[in-house]
Amino acid sequence: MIWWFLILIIVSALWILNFYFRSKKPEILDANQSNIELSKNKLLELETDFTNGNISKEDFDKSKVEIEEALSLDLEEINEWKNRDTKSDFIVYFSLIFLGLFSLTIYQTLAPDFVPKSNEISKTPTLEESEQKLRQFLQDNPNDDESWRVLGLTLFEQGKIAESISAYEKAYEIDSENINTLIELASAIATFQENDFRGRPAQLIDKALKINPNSPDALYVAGLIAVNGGQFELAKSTWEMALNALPANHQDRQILIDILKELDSIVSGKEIPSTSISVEIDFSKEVLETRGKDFLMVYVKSVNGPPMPVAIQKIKLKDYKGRLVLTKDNEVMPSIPLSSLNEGLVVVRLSKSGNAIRQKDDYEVVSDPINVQYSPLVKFKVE
Amino acid sequence: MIEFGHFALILGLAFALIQVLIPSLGLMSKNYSLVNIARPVVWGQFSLVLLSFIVLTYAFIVNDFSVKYVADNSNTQLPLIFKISGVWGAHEGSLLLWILILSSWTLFVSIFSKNIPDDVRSHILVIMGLVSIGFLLFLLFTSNPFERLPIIPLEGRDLNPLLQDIGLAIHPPMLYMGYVGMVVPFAFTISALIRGKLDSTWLRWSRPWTLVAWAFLTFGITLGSWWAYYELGWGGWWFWDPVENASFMPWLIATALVHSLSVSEKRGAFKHWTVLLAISGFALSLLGTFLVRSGVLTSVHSFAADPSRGLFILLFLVFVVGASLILYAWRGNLFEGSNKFKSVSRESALLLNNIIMVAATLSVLLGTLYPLLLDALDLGKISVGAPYFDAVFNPIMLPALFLMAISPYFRWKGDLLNRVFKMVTPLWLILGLGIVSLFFVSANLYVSLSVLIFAWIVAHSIQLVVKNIRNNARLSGSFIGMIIAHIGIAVFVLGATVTTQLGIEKDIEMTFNDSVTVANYDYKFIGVESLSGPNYGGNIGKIEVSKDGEKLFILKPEKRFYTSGMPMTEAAIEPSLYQDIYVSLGEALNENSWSLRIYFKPLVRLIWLGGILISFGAILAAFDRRYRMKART
Repeated sequence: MIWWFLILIIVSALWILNFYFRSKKPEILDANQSNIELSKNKLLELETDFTNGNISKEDFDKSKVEIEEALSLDLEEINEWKNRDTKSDFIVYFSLIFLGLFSLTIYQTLAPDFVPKSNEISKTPTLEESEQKLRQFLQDNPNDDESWRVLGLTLFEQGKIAESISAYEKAYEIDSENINTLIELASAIATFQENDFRGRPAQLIDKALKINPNSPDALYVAGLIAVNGGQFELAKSTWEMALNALPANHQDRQILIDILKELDSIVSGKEIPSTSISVEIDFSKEVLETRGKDFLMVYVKSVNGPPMPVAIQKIKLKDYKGRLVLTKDNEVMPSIPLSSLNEGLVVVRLSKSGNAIRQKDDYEVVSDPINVQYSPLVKFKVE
Repeated sequence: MIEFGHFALILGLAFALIQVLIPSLGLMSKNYSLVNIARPVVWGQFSLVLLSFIVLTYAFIVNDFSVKYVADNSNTQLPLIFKISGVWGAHEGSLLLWILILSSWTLFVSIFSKNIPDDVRSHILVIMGLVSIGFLLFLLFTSNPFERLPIIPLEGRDLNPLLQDIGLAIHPPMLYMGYVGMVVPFAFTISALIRGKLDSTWLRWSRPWTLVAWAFLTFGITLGSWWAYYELGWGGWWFWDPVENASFMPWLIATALVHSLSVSEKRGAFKHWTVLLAISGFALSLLGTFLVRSGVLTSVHSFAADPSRGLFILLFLVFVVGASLILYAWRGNLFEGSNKFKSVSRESALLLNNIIMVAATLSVLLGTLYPLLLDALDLGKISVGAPYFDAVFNPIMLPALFLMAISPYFRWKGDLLNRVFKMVTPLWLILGLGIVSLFFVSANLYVSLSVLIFAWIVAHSIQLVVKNIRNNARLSGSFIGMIIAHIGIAVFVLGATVTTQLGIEKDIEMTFNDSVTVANYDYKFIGVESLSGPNYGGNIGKIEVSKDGEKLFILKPEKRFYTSGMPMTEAAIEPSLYQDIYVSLGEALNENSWSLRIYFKPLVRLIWLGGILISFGAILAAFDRRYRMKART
């Protein structure tokens, strides 16, 4: 990039030098010439005014004198103008050096810490890279609430829920009216509370809806809260409002349409067609020996939706019999049935603690996106 | 690519510094080569700022969310036209546009001022360069549009839905052309003061630039009013909002300046006025920028919390106004020997016009700043709106409306009232009879008054044209421009008063298939359907409008929810020159029941037609033949 800057500086300098050296001799129009010519024009205009009856004869004569007097005041002593000399050459060269040095110095001061290369703009960084960059950025910009929020999201996606909550809290402290912060903080706290939205999460969503009663994200979570409370009709109307507020091609439209269908089935008591995911994991002997007492958690989550599991099974690794099947019975929330999921990710985790939140020494593998509607079989190999 | 644009902007600042320093040295040492460097530097500066603007626009078009400003104000779903207008959709980009327009004005002055002596032109370019430096420093150090994000988001936020409209895509550039255009008369004036020559050159050549700036300002304000009318869903065309006032104050001063310049140019009087008005016009443009950009309008406390931007403009404003006034005081001797005129003369009428315009500006300034002052002093929050301005501003302006029709009848330097009365008495008799009969037609005093003002201005203007044709006088661009602009004011006053006084507004709750009658039109609420746009969802209502049982048309107002969640009302309007039928969809109240706003707006289009006429008149006057004549032999 520095070469481009240098080219721009050189082109700029050549532009100025070209004009500087091209100016031959002073052809300056002096102010006296201009004022004499303008006074002549003014006299002509005065005569037109007189002809049109816009001024009386007496005032016409006075004005003529005034124009002449004004001209005599406007005329000034003529100074000799000089052309280019060694002294002025020096000034111009000095200015051009200044042009380059000044612009490069100012750019050095204002240049961003991170300049992504063109191929990086379309490349998604890993969660760990994002976290590192954000923390670095926040050291210099501790009041940037949006970056705190994105850090919260990045940590949440990594399963670091407690850290995610504290990042969100920072963002909330700086701007308590940012609707995205309110919704994401509510979701993070609810996840920490084992998917329970009661208490602060519900209050945060309530606040978000007060700020913007038409926010599709806030309405979506408000629908979940209503389902948790058994208020299916309220959930239905809330999700319908969310659907109404979404643009034509928005990716979440289908999710909402599917959820609403399922909700209708629940309310009307109709049978829901069953969907299942079979998961086969081939553990190496070493893993079975060293982590036999660990919990084996297998769950499926949405590719684009909320990061919490849609269905989960948790057993001791030693009790694993070669296959686990996630079905309706393993669903976490009735509002998001397995059958509502189109694309999902299967996650296999080995955990000493069995905690819902991912711990440092947990081992985790994630599948490629799968189509849940075909009740697929997903195979893993853990060594 | 982005950093290339960023660097071009910085290089533009370096060019602005050279634009000030080298020609200044040349002017001091009488070195022509150094003075002459101002023009290529101005062209270079314009090219660099334009390059920077193109790069930012490109970043919007290709969704480069590594740029914070792009990520904050655009997303992949945004239609292309709004991606482009999104460049000036928020603070940083609109300032870049401001600077691009400032460098465009500087470029135009350097190209189209061939009649001005080269040293005078370089003086003017130096002053404009100084203003450029101030704004470029402000942009680069407090509001940099090229700031990067540490993490590139996959999707941007949304452009403010209010700005996703073609009216708002054009309104800011037009308004800025007017706002920033006020820098030209300012630079002409300051350079004249520095040179110590308030001469014919200054007066003759600053007037066409002022007229062009005034035309843009008028057109920009008119566009803003039109946009507010159809986009905000309230059916209003002016709200006395501080942001509106911020553009209206420079307009009032520019109006006075245009008139003051004509006296100074033709008769060599009013130089004090002209100088002070040129300084105040630009100072009010800066004040407007401060009010809109500092956050002080949202809350003076939010300004205090993050004062960097506001403080910079405030200091710049203090510097510009302070330095200008010191220069004015220092050059006090230049104002001696102003040409005399009698109390009954065209000069006196125009002086009265200046006084009225300045008083009106002060009334708007007071109404705009007073609530901010109270808030800053923790003396409570008050809102100064239409009742204050109706009570204070309108009565101040009323005499100006009567005066503008008859002042062109007065002779320069001195006249006799009897002579003027003789010319206009037959007209007054006809007008008087017409108005007396009008009072029997309309019981509304304000409407009658507005019809009187309309008839007064139009009749006097037409009679003046007829008189000049009979005298075989040449109808100059200035004269025709003045007539058109004055008629524009008359058209505006008629439209504004009639629509305000006779307009009907109904806020009602309607259930599907309900009907209501407003101003002899029947409105049947057929229903509401879902609506999905490229980057919004929402509802669309259907209202069937009929008169005397005959179905006329169906109006489809929309309620949109953009991806940012912000609701927007898209009013449905059936326009005509005589009246607008206007419906906007409110909130859903119960099942099948919605709140609706129905408006009947008689003559509302005249408001904007008036604005267009004023702008057109100003442009005609600016291109008068005498401004195209060469000053050199």
